[in-house]
Amino acid sequence: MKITSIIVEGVGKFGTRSEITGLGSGVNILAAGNEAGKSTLFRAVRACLFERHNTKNEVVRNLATDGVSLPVTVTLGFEHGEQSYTITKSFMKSPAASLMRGTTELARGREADEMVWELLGIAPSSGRSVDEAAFGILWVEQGQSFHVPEPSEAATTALNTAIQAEVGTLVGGERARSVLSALKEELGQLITDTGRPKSGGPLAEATTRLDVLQGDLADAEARLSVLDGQLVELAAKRSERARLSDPALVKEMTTDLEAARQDLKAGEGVAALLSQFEAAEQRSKASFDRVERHLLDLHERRARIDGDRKRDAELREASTPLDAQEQAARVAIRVARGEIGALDAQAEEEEEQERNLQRLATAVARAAARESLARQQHGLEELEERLVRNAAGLANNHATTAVMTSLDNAERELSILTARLEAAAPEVAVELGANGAGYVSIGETTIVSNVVQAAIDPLTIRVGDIATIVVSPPKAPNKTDHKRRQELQKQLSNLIEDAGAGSAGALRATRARRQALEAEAVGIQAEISAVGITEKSPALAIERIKTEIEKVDALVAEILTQAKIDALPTAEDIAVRQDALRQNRENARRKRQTLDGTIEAQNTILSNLADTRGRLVGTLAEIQNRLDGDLTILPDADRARLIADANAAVAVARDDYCTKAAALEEQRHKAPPHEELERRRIRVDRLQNALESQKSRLGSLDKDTANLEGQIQSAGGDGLGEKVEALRQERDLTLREVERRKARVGALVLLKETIEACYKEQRDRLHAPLRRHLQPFLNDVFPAAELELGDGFAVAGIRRNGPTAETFERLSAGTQEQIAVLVRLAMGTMICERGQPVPIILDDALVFSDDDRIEQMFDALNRAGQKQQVIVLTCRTRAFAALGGRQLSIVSNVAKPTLA
Amino acid sequence: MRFIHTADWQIGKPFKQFGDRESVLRQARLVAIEKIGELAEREGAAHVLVAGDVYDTEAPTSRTLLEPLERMRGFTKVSWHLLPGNHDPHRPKGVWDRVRENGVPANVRLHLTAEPVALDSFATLLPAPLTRKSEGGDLTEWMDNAATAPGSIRVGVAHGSVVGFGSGGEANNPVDPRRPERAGLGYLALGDWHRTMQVGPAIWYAGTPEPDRAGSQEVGQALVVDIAGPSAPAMVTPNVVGTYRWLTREEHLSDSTELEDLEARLRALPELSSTILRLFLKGTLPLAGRAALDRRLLGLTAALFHLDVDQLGLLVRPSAADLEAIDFGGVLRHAADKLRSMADDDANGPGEKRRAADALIQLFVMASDDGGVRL
Repeated sequence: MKITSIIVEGVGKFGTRSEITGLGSGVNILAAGNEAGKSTLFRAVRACLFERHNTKNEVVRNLATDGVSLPVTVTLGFEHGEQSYTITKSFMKSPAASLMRGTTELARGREADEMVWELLGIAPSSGRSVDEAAFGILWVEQGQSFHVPEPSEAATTALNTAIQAEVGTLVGGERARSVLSALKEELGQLITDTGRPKSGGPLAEATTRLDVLQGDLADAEARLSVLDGQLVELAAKRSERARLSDPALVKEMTTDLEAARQDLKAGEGVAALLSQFEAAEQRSKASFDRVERHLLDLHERRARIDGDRKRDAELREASTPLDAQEQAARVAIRVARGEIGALDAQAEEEEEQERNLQRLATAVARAAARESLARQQHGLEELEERLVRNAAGLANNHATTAVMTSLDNAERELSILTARLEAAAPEVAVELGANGAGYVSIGETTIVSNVVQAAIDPLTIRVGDIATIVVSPPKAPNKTDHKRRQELQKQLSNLIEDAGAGSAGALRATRARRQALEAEAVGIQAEISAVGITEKSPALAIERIKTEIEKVDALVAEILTQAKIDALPTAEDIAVRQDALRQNRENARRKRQTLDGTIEAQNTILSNLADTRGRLVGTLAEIQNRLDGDLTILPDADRARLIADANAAVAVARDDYCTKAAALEEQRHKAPPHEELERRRIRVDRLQNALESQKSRLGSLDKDTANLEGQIQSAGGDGLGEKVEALRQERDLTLREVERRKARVGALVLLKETIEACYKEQRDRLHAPLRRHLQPFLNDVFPAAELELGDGFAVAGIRRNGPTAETFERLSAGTQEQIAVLVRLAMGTMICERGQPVPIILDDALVFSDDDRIEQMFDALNRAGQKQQVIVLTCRTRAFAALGGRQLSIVSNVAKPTLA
Repeated sequence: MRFIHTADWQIGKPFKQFGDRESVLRQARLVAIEKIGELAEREGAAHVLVAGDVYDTEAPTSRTLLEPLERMRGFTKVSWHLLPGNHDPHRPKGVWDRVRENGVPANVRLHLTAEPVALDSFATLLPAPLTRKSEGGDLTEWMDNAATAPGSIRVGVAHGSVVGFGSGGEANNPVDPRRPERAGLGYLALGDWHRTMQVGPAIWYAGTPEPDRAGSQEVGQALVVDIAGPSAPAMVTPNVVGTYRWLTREEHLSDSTELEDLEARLRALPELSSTILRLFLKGTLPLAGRAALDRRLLGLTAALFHLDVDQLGLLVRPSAADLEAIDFGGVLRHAADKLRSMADDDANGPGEKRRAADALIQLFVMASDDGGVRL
């Protein structure tokens, strides 16, 4: 194929009919600046050949000129098989297609679309896109020249077809690749790249279905198993019920029960008669015991009466000496109590004496303290006088700290102001002549020597009566200072006057005196504190001391009066008298203790006597009571008769008891033993329980049966058994399907891996034709270099300077692009030699090539151009000037051809 | 006395392996009932004894439960006597209670207990129903002492395995083959064995009226039984009542040339469209022969009601022509040689050898002219 003309209208910037002129064999170059529309033209050519005319896909929509309501029209002239063709397609609006050979229209519309594909050996796909076959490799759009070609299915076929011609018979590469492709396609539907069942694929679908079925089957089998268990249980319960409700069995059990009851009743009758005999025997025995106990009682009473009488006599004799002992004890107590009374009276008198001595001692002590109080009073009176005097001095002295602070502050400020004013005031100097002393006065002061003075205020200098000179300072400057100075002078004057001083010096002397008074006041206060008075002032303390002295005097006078003495005794005399009183008191206390002990001992004796007497009386009363009772029952007069009667009654009762006991023993031999009766009762209970249990069990069985029937009804009625059988079959079928598909996968994988292994072994031979076609182009740019090709014609690396290959990815972008373009050129040449001369179109390629390398690439392009058409689109007009070949140009506003 | 002896209807049995034609086979089992009814009417038999396994499971759907009863209801001159078998034993609230609760047609009689039932004034039926799937004892034993009217023909009906006969029945429900002599039976109608079989002079398995698996009887049958009197021998005549034939064939192949004969033999089978064929293929075939076999089997599959082929015994022996058909050399031929070596290498396990053979067949199919991928 060779493109001979390209005409577009309504395409991109080519709103009007525009044509590429100059197309021909060999190398063609369309050099134009950016946005000239080169790439648009490239895409228009592709669309014209590969898109259906009625498509409105994105490729075609992007071709349309903005804002122009025209169809996208592309006309492509080309030569193929020594024939000239023209294909014209209008897209979007009024879509149409027409294929002409020479001047003959071969086809229109869809037929034209497909006839072009057929003509160029392009297989229309079942999908929307069209496999561009070799065109996909050789038409390199903008930005794609960097990538090593990855041939599509049809393109690979085209390449392999070319290779087959040379080595295909030996290697069979294309057939192997085709088989591999089919294998991969089928495997791709079955499994993922990692070998797992592919989601949505038949294997995964079967596996999933198998899982679901197994789950459903397990569930259904479980339910069926439950149902089966329920059926078995129901049968067992019904069988048990039939057995339990068997009339013969019921009758047998009832009969047995009745017989057992009869046996029990007979046994119980004999047992009841035995009980009567036992009761009679018991009553007889009780009667015998009673009369025997009566006889024994009479014997006991007889013995007790005799003993009690003897004991009564003994006790009465023992109580006689107790009265004398009691009388002696009472006398001793009375004597002791009299002596204690005398001691108490003596003690009372001595206590009064001791109290009087104590009062005298108090008066003596108070009188001794009166002198001290008088001294303290005198001292305080002196302090009081000094305090009053000092306070009066302070009250008359006004040179307080505040006044002195104000004075100091005013004088300090005044001196500062005066200095400042003096500095600014005119200086008046008076130099006295030899006879001038006392002749000149400044103000009121007569000077006797030379004077230099600043005239702060108007200064009057009198020179005798010769002249009066007034020096006045300028009025304007320091007006504020003057005013402040006057205020300060006024303030000082007021301070001094208020303090009652004549001058500042006098005020300071007053201040010194005030400080002395203040120190004195502090000293007086210290002395007052040292005296230790609690009052606020010495005067109050003096009053208190005076009162205390008066109280002492009154107390002493009172004591003397009470004691009827004239003077107070000495303290030592009082102490001697007090010691004598204490000795008396101690003696009395000891004697009192002795007397108390005597009384206590006698009282103990009295208590013991009372106790002894009480016990004797009680015992005698007790004996008498018992004796009275015994005599009531067994009077001495009837003693012999009563005992004889009792002996006779015992003999009668004994005979009766022996008779009854013999009868009882006889009856016992006749009655069944107790164990036998118990056994008969147990048997009756057991048979009754058995019948009741049977009834209860029947009720329970009926209830269980009803429940089971309900459960079975609900579980079995939905065809569960049928469902389980169906699920089992489906599970088995699906299991076989999964196994079959897995076996298929296994076989396909094995086949694929085997073919791939063999393919790799043959790869070098398969790539030999491409390498052979590539080598001249490679030599143009990379002399003596050799490319390493991998699977799918991928470039693995390049060997340039030695045996070690450089990997393709590590090469520079420019070198990668150059190699990729060279591989495409070689592929194009190879396909061309197989009779499919497809033009090579490069859009904006070789952008990273330096000057030397691009020259070499131009050589390679021209080498390709020798055998097929090469169209280069570039914006680098200067760099591509040396490419040579045909210069193409875009002509706008081309007139439509008129019909002949 | 003339009656029909049948058994093992197993109504409701699923046939999932037949896909969308499952219902056809299920329906065929109901049609078989009608054929039995027609046979009874045609032969003048007033009674049909069904010796167990009327239903396939104890828990069928309501429709499955009622469908056979409705088919029987239509034959008003025939009394149908149904006996529980091991697939449908009589258990309280089980399948037979459901049948009773739904109403039994007047001409259908359920024999759920072991007690004599007068068929007419000349014969008495002694049924031995199963009350569970597996019985350890012989349920027909009671027949020895069963009281019947003097001069009445005693006919036993049971479902189980004949002791010592090795019938290979499905359940352990033993039946003494001397029962007719011991119990004075004129005939003992048995079920469980899916093949018509005479066990003794007066004891028969009826087989199933519609087979459900390969390897049992080929076509469904029912027996017409004639007994002239109490001591007369039973005259038994098998009659075909089934629709579908279940065949099993084993064929041996050693060369592609035998394929045509094989196909011819199979196509010669009667009533292909209602034949279910289980075909075991053994021997060896070259790859081309194997591909040709598949094509022929595809055609046969369409001709038969169902074809199930087991080719595990059929080995692939690639011929020189097979390998050349793949390629004379190059990648594919190399791969074929490798796969053949793997398939022949006894060091590989059976699974690996089979996989290699399958891969080789696949390669042949894809690469040969027959596969249509040669360029």
